[in-house]
Amino acid sequence: MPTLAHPEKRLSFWKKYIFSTDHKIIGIQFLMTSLVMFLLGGLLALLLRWQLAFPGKPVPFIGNLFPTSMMAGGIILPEFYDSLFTMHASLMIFFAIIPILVGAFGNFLIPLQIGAPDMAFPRLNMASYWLVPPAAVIILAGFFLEGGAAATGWTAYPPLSEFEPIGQNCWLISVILIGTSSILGAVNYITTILNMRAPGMTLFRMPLPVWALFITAIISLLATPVLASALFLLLLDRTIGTHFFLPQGGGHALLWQHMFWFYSHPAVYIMILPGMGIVSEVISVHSRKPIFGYHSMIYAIMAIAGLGFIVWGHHMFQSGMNPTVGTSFMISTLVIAVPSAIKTFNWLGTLWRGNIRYTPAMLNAIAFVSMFVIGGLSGIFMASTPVDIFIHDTYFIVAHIHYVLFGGSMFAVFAGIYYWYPKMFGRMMNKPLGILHFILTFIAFNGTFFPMHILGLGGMMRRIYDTTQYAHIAHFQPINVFITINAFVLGMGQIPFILNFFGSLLWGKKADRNPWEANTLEWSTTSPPPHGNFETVPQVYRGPYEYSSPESKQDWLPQDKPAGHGA
Amino acid sequence: MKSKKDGIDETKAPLHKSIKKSRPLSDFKIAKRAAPLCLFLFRSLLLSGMFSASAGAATLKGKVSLEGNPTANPVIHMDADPVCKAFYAEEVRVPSVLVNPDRTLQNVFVYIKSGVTHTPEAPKSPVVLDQKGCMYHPHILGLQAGQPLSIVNSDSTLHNVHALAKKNAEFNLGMPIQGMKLEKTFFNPEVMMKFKCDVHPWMGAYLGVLPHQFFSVTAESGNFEISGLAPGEYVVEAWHEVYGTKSETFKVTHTDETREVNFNFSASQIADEASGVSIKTGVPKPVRKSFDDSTALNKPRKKTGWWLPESISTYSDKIDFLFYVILWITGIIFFGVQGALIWFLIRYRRRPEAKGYFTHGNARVEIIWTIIPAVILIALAFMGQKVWAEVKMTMPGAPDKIQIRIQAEQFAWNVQYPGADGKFDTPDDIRNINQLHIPVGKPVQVTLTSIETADKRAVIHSFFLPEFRLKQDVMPGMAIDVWFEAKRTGKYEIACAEFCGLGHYRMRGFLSIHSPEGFDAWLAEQAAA
Ligand SMILES: [Cu+2]
Ligand SMILES: [Cu+2]
Repeated sequence: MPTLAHPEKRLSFWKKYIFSTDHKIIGIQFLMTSLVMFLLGGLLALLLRWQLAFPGKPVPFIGNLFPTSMMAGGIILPEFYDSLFTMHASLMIFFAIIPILVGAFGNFLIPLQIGAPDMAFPRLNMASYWLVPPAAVIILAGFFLEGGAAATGWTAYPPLSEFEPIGQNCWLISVILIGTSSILGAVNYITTILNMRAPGMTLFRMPLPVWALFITAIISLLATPVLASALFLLLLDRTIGTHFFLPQGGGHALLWQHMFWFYSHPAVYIMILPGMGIVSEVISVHSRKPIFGYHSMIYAIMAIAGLGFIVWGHHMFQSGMNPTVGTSFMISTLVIAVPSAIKTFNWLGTLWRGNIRYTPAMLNAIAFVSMFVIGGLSGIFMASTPVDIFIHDTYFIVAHIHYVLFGGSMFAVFAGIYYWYPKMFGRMMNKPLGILHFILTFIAFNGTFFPMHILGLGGMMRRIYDTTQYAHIAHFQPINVFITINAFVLGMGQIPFILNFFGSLLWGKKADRNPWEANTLEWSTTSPPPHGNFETVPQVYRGPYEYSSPESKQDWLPQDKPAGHGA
Repeated sequence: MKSKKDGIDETKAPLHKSIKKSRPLSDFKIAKRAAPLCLFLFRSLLLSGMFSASAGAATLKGKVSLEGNPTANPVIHMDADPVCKAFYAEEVRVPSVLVNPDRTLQNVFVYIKSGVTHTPEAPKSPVVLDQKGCMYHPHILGLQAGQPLSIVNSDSTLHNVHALAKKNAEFNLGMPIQGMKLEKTFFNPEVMMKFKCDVHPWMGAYLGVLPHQFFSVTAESGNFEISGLAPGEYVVEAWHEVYGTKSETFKVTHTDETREVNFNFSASQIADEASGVSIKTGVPKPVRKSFDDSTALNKPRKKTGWWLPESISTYSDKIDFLFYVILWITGIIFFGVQGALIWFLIRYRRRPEAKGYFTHGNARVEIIWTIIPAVILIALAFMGQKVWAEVKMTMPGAPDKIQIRIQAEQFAWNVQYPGADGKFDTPDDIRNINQLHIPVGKPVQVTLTSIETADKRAVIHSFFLPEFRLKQDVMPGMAIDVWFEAKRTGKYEIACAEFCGLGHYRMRGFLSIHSPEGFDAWLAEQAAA
């Protein structure tokens, strides 16, 4: 049972901010690191969008700064283009979205929302963060090695990845490190949630972000070791000459795909479930209503996690895997859409008859619901095996994944940052700048990714350096130009966010304990909370979403407020 | 693999020992290399001066001729790259056997194989290999180890220069931009190093890397001349890409003599490219053009705008139908959900002093909105299964189906037909690169494999026929069958849909759908060729 918060000790700067074991600092470290990687990944995407819209034209302004192994006279070379799309996806998935949602929000929120003074294993937690910077350095080092950074796609399919230059080894080692970080984090989250809840915080009184992060941690713990093994086997193939994925030595290239997707499909849920939790929280608070169907939300998360482990084959319908197996994966994949639909209807139910407040956090949460609907519906096309024959490996897939991971995860990340920023840093973010950032991002996001569905329907393949040469897709070039313009606006649209984020650290209005009039425990302590989080161990009396309850005069009723006091 | 084995087909030509007055160690090297660097000029002159002063310099001259009638060089099909095709109005052939009117042979690399004792420092000025008109210029070239080779792309298309070096570092580099230059230096002697373009399979060049500068390439006259030789005993070798090598020994005794060695190749003895073993050539067969299928092949494609491409296989409409069913269902859900969302956002926006409606949910609606999507999704699964089984789980039973093998390599589609005997891997097989010909209205069954060649790895590709709505990954170590049947004639494309390396984006094949008669005629034509 957690005891009283330990008194603030005098810690050196290094202990306090760099090698800290405080879950809040570690959460913020994850947040900062992943935001930097998010911007870097975005810049890589802009370079490759340039090539797609204007193939063979020199990149303006910065083109000549690149070495000749990447660009010739400012023109992106095919080798570099291949590295760009590989590194864009790898950075975004392994270094931006997973660490932000799981690392940053997981660390920051779990102890605060369950009323614990810290994580169960603070040093393990610190280790989990400190695996990330070396991993980032290693993966980026590939750019400066002979042969360039990894260039086989983020899926790194062997046999191709067996023969590519040294940058592929950097990629493998780096992702192994990141995977280890995830596993350490997962162990910590599960233990903390099971053992360190405040008195009265039963499992079914936990806020939905904690539930989502709990299930996510279980997925991580079960799936990540499989990825790590696959990566390790490939590394052995590449370094000591084993043949796990090479048919000429009795291995099989499909083995990689099974192992990779056994992790990477659940990984999609690692990247979306915490977002769903955040969005549920933000929507309930801002609608001033209990979440509609709290229990069915939790069961839906569990169903997604469970089914998520038996759908990986839908990435392999056209891979040469026996088509009969494809049929069973089609059925499980279509069924997994059901819990997603339940969640969407529950969000709508939460908004229904609410008293909706609009803040940048809420706008981003609503965008999540709206965009997730598109990403979910487009998934049905792929789940249907015959339709997938045509759209597999086309831009339809690229559109789909970006509606899920940007339209979904990233909007949830923005919602979460706008919502918890006052608790993290003790200051409010600027609202007009937040709204400007939201509008630019929302419009440019749709302008960038919606037309990709059309490209996919035209049969435009992914990972093509120059799409203008194929007769069936050459006439889509104006759409590519349109997409690229929107992508640049999307990139520019992040400037108000960066200004807001760093500007508010200095000039933001001081935040009081509970600026959003919310119920969960983190809002009952100071902003930011002290080392140890709570002045006294909170006692929990009710569920997290008792908004507009007739028990209370106000339209909120904190979890730790004894009954009868507010009436 | 290019360097021919020594001593193949050694029919010793008589050694002509006509001793002539030679030019003094001439500016031959300098003039030929046209060195732009003054420093280099100066040093060469100095060096040659030293030689002529101390030991003098002899010259080796001679002629290379060819006996018999050579088989015609293969025709190059540049259809794979329209940029290349546009360079040539007429038929282009591989420049491998070029015979002059006086029966002398061009493009023979003649060099001193052994006996050279003095090796001057390698020149600093580069030898240029130009990629122009989708051909290498020159086709045969030589340089001294340590002398740079400057590779230029003069075309506005991607070339991928691939040096199949054995004794030097192999390299494989994309050159996508017109005017792009690349400089490489080889430090180990190697005769001959083949250069090929991974984008344009017909492009080839041969480079002789020697420890010295004593070499010559025959041209329109069929003559060669190597000068600056000090007294001593030498072996001279003549190398030709088709006819292999021949060598002779000669002696230089006087400083200013001119020796003559002639080589004579026979058109009936060619060297096998892979092994270097000498083999007899067959008599070329006449090619007959029997049937004009151009109306069927040139039938215009349907314009489809920014939507699904034309649907031309027997099952493509069924796939499209399923697509439209899903589009309608998801479209209705999309508008329903987004409409409700927007309505709630406006209708229930903040009202001061108001509270939200206090409810934790409703079990009945939860059950309803669980069951309805589940029913729709299961129904879609059943609908999909029928078409899926037709396309991927069954192969056509028709006895007259066309059987084809396609071997995907980095980055081309090798197409193989069984030929008249209906059996694969027999001498009458028809083989093509990047050109798939099929008849309309007949099921075609293709067996897909991924192969490795000397310098290419077996990796995953994906055989994609957009207009047929067919896609199938080509998996190394597996032979996967797919089938399709065209509903119309015309010319279409094969795309590679799975990232397979640097040249993936150019891994484009061409599909010609013939009329039935046109296809038979095409087969006959191919069998004859
Ligand atoms: Cu080329
Ligand atoms: Cu390919």
